Amino acid sequence: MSDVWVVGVGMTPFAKHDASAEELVAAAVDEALRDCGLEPADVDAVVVGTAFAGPGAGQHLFRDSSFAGHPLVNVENACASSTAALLEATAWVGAGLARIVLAVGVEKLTGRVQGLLPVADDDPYGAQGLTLPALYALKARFHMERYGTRAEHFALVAVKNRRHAVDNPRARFQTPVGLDEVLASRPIAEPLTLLQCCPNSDGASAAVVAADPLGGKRAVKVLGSALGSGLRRAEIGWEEPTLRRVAARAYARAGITPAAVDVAEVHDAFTPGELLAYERLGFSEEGQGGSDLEAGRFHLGGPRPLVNPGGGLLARGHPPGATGLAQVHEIVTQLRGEAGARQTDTARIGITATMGGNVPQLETNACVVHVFAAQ
Amino acid sequence: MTSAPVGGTDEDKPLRPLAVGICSGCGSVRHPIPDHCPACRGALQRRVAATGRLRSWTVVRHAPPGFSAPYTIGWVQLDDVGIGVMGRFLTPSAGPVRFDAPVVVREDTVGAGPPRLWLAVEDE
Repeated sequence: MSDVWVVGVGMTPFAKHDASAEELVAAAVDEALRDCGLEPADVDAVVVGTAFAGPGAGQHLFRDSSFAGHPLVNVENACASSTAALLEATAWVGAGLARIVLAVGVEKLTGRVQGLLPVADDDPYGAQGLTLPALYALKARFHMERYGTRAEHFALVAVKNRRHAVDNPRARFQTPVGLDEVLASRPIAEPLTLLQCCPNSDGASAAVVAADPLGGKRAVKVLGSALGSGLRRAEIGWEEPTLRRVAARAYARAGITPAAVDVAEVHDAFTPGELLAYERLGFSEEGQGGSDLEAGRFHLGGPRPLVNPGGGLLARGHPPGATGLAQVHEIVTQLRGEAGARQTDTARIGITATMGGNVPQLETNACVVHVFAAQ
Repeated sequence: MTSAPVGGTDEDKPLRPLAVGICSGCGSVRHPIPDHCPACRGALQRRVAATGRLRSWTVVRHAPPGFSAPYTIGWVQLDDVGIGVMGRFLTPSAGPVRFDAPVVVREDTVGAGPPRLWLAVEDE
């Protein structure tokens, strides 16, 4: 496969938007094209990631745009839909099927989903009253019992990510919260409290993928990517091998080790997701994620890698289909050195790790890891 | 760490000991029990597997539609058959919850839905 570059990125602020999905997508796409100096006419193909927009989402969203008539692929991989869309775009470009591909993520939850994202009640776990935060709480409790991790360790993830988002003008929450405030917020599924759950949001995100850097020093190279789906929960319990397995494959394709990673955007839909990712991405020893975080790792200004400088899903907000490319937006911005007050000083290698799951009987529907490098 | 479990069903329904299906072809273990093994299409032998060890739990304080919080969900690694199952604690009087506690698992069925699994900590 030939080299593939992300040459342009764009995203709307994540919020509860009055704007339609079409308007959100148009804003993100316009910004991504402007970012790399391309016109809509330069785009050869479009890949659209969305979790809830339904069949034919991309064709519907772009029906009145200048992309009507283009090759278009819809990708639905739950919360990992748009990082899976990026993988699809890189495959098209790498295989020579297209020179410039636009990857898009979008979700408009307002008016569709209120509160908890649903677990189907005809699901065997849904029938026991499982909710998505309860699923993450079960991961948390297992880790607490196995390794001595404390409820405070999970809460610290929220404190860190809310602090990072203070300097992210596109984040849903731009105010810091203290540890006591996180722990004292409304209990949702013990040990998780409300401020450890990401807010459902609306938004769109986009990336322009190209076969060369287009002469620009701001282009970021896609070093390696990998995708996996999860095994049956009944058989794996809480050991959860998928992220470790997918990350190992992405690192191998990129020719790096975890020690090379300067900055990462990881899937903190609920705080345990991030703490477990420290270990599964190879940043922490097994069982040490909580104590590493408590010791100051993963914070802006702390020992590298920096994790979730954009605030993560917890603070940026979570429009499921748009989250993956928002992670990419942050990593590209960091690798370009354009992240302003939230810029890490050493950023040569960055990764995104996205988990998407609405089939509770599996560990995850889709797990996507991308490795990017600055020029 | 221990905490009191929060129950449970308020319906007076007969509960049966949990049974799983074991494939006579490939040996895979399934619950709920399908008509045929989804992996190899082999026939499934029904086997009672009603005891196990508690490997995780959470008290749900924010319930989805159709459920009333609080209740405790537990994950039980079944003895002998090699799979884990998810259920709800039946009654608050079952004693404190702790990791690896022995648990009895029973089930019932409501309408056409999947079986509901009911957990109780076993006296040691």
